[in-house]
Amino acid sequence: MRILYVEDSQLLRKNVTSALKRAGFAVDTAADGEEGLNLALTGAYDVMILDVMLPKVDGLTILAQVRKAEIDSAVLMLSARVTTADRVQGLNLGADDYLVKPFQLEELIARIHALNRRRYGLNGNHVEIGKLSVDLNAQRVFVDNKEISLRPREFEILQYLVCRSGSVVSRSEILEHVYDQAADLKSNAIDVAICTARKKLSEAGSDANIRTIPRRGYLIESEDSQPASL
Amino acid sequence: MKNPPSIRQELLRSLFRSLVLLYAAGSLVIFFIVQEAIERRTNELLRQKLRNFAEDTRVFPEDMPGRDFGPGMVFHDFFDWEYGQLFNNKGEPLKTSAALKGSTLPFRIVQERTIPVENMTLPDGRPGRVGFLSFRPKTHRRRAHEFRNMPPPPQSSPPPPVHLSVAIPVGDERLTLRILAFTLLSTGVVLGAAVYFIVRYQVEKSYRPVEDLVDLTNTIQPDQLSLRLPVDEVPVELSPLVGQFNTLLDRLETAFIRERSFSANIGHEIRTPLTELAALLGNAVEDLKLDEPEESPEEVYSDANEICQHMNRLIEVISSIHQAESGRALVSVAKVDPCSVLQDVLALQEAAGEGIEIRDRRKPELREIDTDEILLKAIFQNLVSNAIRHSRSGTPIICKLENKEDGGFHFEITNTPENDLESADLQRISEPFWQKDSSHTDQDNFGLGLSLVEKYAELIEAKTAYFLKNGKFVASLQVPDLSDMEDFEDAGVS
Repeated sequence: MRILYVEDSQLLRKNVTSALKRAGFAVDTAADGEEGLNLALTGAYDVMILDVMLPKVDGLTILAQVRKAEIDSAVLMLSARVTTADRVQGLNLGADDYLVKPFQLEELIARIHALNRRRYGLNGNHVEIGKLSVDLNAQRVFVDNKEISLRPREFEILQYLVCRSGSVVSRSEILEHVYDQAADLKSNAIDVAICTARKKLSEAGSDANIRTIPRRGYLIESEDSQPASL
Repeated sequence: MKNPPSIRQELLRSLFRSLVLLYAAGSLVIFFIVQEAIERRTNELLRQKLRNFAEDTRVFPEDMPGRDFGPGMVFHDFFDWEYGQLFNNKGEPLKTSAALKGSTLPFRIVQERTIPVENMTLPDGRPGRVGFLSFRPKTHRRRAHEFRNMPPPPQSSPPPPVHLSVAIPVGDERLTLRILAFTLLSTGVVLGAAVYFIVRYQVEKSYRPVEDLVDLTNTIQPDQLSLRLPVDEVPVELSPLVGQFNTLLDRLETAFIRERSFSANIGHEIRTPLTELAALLGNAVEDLKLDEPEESPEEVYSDANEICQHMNRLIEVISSIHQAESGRALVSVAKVDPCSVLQDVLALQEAAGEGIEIRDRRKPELREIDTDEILLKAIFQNLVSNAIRHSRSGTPIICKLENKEDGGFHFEITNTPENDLESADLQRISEPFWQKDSSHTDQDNFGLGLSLVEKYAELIEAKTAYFLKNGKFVASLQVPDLSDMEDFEDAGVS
């Protein structure tokens, strides 16, 4: 999942980004509103975390511009302003959530998960496809209740695929939603990661398979539900 | 302490009392005038009666025959219903009216031509009034036919004076006065009741605007301080009060907003570093679980220390403002050379303001003045650092310092602002936490510098002004010589 985090406090930006990355999110950051707005309008983010008081362009203006551009990313506003009027203003402008400083990192991450679930129409943090079970919060993968070990990038791709299970996900979508701007990508990085994940799942006896759909992308589905041909 | 009585009750009572007293006084005056008029009329009737009696009384010549009275007797007689008695000088009744039925009237010898009257009780028990008249009765003149067969009368001595007492009943007069008194009294009672209700109604009516005002005032709650009382809808007497009340509400609302905003801003300023600290520590705890932590404990400590120092600086500035506001900041007046104070500040700030040129245009002949050196230095520091922090890169800052004719000095610092300041911004520029760009990129900038300047300037009686000149921001400071200010010495500041 790719997140845009716009925050002017350098220390906060560094620590929150670190925590988000550890939680399995690809994070792009911006130190002021102008840069943040630019990223928000050009990038494909699952969630945007916007501080309200920002240099150059404030968070509420970014939010308004994002909604005006009909970008449907979930937006979480962060602010030290605690009054109901401040929250109502943010929510009325199209924010999906509002978190008041100071907050715990766990709460922030939980809220981002909740926004993601809502975005992809999931009911809980566990996504099951046949014998495959993915715990989105704990970043753990089970096949027949037996945990299998995936590398972070493999997990992130699998996570995105299971969130969009039933749909074909293109390589560019994976690129946009799993990798942040700073990622050093080799041309076949996605193919390699998917291949490895597919192999690990297969070895563990998973009936969920990551299929390659030629010229379109990837699709994860249970073998039982696979049609005879696509 | 007991409250003064209710205005409404007091007004009602005094108005009612005044009207009742006025009526009572009027009634008494009317009563006495009527009484006087009736008595005067009765007395005049009585006197007229006495005068008529005296006029008609004659003494017959001794040789006049055919008369019942005999010689020397008066010829006039009383009517049967009259109370009258004629006395000689010895007080012996010469003639008594039949109505007296054997009783007598008072006897008085009075001066001629005066007819005194006095009240008495008539023989039949009724109230009456008696008049007294002393006179010499005229001698009866013979008429022509009486002289025909008679010799001319001899010359006789004038008749002796007689004293007449005539009384009349005054029961009707008393009754009239009693009826009048009763009428006035009963009218007074009825009028009193009517007046009470009318006065009460009028007082209530007059008092209604005050009550409406009180009701309206009661509706103003702490969260409705934007409400104002309608000055145009109250009586003219209440307008100044309502105007003053509205002015107070203005000030109260401004103070409330400022206080709320100040508290909210403090909360905001503290919440951000608290979040930084929480995120830093949260990450540090997670790092402990890793074989290769992202940050070393030393880095975490350094970051935490930086956050704490930032919070400490905020608390120090807020504390300074609070001390200055509450008058607890000690002002120590001594001879100060503003030139050297500014030089120290510029030397310090030049090191901090990298790449910013400060043009020092102090006049070297500046003289020393009496003021507080520490506060003056703090003001200079804040003004200069504010100029450095908000100057557009590559633009100079110009400092001017010159003596004033009244003994103080004038300081002016000009810079080209980074953000486009507008005239409306200047009104808010010294508000606590106000910043043109309200973000927190600069960790040491809380937006409190100019607030602190204002507070410190007040303490040393200095005047500040902020204005825009050709797109440049100018902060001006007029500092007086406190040795010239008696009030300042009297205030007991050391």
